[in-house]
Amino acid sequence: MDEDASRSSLTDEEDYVDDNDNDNGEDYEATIEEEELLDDDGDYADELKGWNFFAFLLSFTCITFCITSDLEDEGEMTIEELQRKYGYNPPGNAEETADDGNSAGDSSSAAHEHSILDLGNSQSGYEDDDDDYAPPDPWKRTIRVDPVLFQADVPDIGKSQATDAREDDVVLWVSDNTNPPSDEVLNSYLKDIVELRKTHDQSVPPAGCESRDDEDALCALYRNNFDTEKAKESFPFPHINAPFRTVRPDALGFSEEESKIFEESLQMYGKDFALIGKMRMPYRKVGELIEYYYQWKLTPSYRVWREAHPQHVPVVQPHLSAAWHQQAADNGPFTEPSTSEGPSTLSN
Amino acid sequence: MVSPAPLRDQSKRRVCYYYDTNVGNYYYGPGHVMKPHRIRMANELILSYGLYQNLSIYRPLPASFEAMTTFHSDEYITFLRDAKIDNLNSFGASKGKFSQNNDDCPLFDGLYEFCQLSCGGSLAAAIKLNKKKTDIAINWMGGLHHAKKSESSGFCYTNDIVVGILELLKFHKRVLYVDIDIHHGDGVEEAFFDTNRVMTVSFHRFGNFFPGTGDIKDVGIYNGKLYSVNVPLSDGITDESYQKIFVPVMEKVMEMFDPQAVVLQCGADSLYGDRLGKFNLSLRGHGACAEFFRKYDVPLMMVGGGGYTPRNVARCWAYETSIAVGIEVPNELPFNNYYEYFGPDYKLHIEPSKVLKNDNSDQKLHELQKEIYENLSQLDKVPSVQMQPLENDTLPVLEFEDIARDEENPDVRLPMSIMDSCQHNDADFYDDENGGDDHRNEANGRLSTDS
Repeated sequence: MDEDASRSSLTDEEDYVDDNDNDNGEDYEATIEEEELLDDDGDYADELKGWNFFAFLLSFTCITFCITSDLEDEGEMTIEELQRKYGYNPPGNAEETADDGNSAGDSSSAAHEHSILDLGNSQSGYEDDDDDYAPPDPWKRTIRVDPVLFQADVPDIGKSQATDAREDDVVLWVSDNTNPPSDEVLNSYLKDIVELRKTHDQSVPPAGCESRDDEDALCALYRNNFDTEKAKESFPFPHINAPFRTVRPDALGFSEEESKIFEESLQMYGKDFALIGKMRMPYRKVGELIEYYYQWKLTPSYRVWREAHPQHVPVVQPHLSAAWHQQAADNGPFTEPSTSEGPSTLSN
Repeated sequence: MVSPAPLRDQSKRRVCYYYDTNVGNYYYGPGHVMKPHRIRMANELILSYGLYQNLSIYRPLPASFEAMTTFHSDEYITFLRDAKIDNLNSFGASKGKFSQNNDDCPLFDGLYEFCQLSCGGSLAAAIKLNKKKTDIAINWMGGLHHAKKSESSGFCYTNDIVVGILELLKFHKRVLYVDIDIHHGDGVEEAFFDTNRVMTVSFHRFGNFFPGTGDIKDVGIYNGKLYSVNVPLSDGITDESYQKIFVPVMEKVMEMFDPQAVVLQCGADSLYGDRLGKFNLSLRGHGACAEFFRKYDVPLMMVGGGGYTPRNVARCWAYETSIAVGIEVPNELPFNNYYEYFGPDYKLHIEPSKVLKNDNSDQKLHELQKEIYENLSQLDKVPSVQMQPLENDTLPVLEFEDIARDEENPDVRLPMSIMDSCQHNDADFYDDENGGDDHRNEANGRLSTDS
């Protein structure tokens, strides 16, 4: 599969790939529907036709639409029409989709029973001598049955040792023990740590965030058997939950020069961090770029970058999209709910 | 008739939390809706709310090749481990062999590691529950319920849930799996479709919706017949409607199946405002499902899953963590490293839509319930412990422990599940078989060896 070709076609795509990509709270649109209204190109009515609803993300899935649209047309014919088409005698009632809670009687449950006992994909073909057969909806899938290929091997009970080599999970903090420190002791310890950090010029949560737990401090306390004095003596604490797999332990923060390169690369390659790394910053692990990206979005320079590159800025939506207004018109007056779907301050 | 376990008092549960900070640094690719960063945002809220103090925190070991192949085929895990974009052909990786849709499940940097962390968390959670060292175990890195034995699907590559359940099955005769993701839990259902030791129950959107399985008529096959339960729902379901069907179905399931452990997949795409879903649940309606199981005195594993509006995913899983520890957190979000993402309201709870039409009428829900009840009542009722003599295959855990204790070879270390229940004699030189080196019980160790 030619990954690079598909990537380039992705970045050509106007909407879903990059520019209106909803990242971490920048959703102006609560649903796909609202997002679709942003873009006048493309006919989204076709989307729901194929069973693969993820396919809208990519331009070359129109192929999928072509393949399934024939089936979809057949799916919309009545059973009688279909069977006449294929030379069967029409039986009783049509099989109904499960959306309708009514069970349509024996023939539908018989048809379903057929699908349960059908060991394998029931879309695989017709059986000419089965009067009740009707092609299933194109979006339907069946659970596959084969003990080797699909089902799990259920272990016998009581035959295993529980020591299965999991003693290596790193314990950072244990709240359940015979003599846990009280909440007061813990809170005062954490307060003391905030002070300690201040005197050592380390970053601390802003005032009013005393509820925040300090992972490293708690771990130090745990490793000193909940002895708060001993734990404080062991300051400064190692950064105990550092992401050492994705970020090199000796990685430096991004310099100004690097930030510049990063922003240029975003403009040039889009959010393809592996590509950005390969082309401009090969000494960085991809994880470092991703970590930086999510931090950078919170900074003022992100806003500056956005203003400089308006084609990346999603169109600002009113608090409720036109779709909801339409539904409201149908349903009568409503009070505008305060939701979290409105534009976040990141956009401002 | 087996009555549900007595309601335990609503206060303390031991809760273990599995998280690895690397998880937020994996990226599926430009334009992809699945963003592992949401897990980091959830963790950030949990930290900022001060919930860490009430959890036991673990960084899980990444799952090994052997661990993942307890479910998946060797060939498939080898592919995940070794495939790079330029050597796909050497795996014969034509479209469809290891993935129905290579765009849903792209190869990204660190993919194998990501899978190892996800599975590692669920596996560690299961082992902890097996050892009875915790009441609730949480792994928000997991819940990837679409992955199949040899195939990735729906953004899921390895099925950490199946791996975790297989571990639970070593010590629990019956495990219940409940899936409240908006998408049908097909990977887990398929894995256990033919067995009566795992009951899979899924509440999902059905009808021209991914993955296309989850018909109410799918009840399982062979020994597993009647041990798969599917609740097909329509768009716009509200908190109230959801509980109207969830509670009766789950009460019946608990009664008839009487699981010894429960795994709850908390996919957050069933919330209102999700990028891919059109349900109308708020955090309260979603979280009520977690609260339901907390009432029962049964070991519980909570895992993540779908959720494509990251700020709401973070809210949901932070809230459900607070439910697990039994602490009410304020609606005002605490300041945190990603605070700006939670604007403009900066609140924990989300308001469901007042205009989204609920296509699930009470009547439809009632009919679903009726059909499900009919199926469940055909289950062989699980005999209560007191009413039947012990057979060879019931309560083997008890037997195993007793026998092992009696027959112990002093040179062989006994399994942890037995050691945990052994009392130590203060006269012993070491407080336990670990030679006084068990750092989990260091406090205890100190006390006895100090004397």
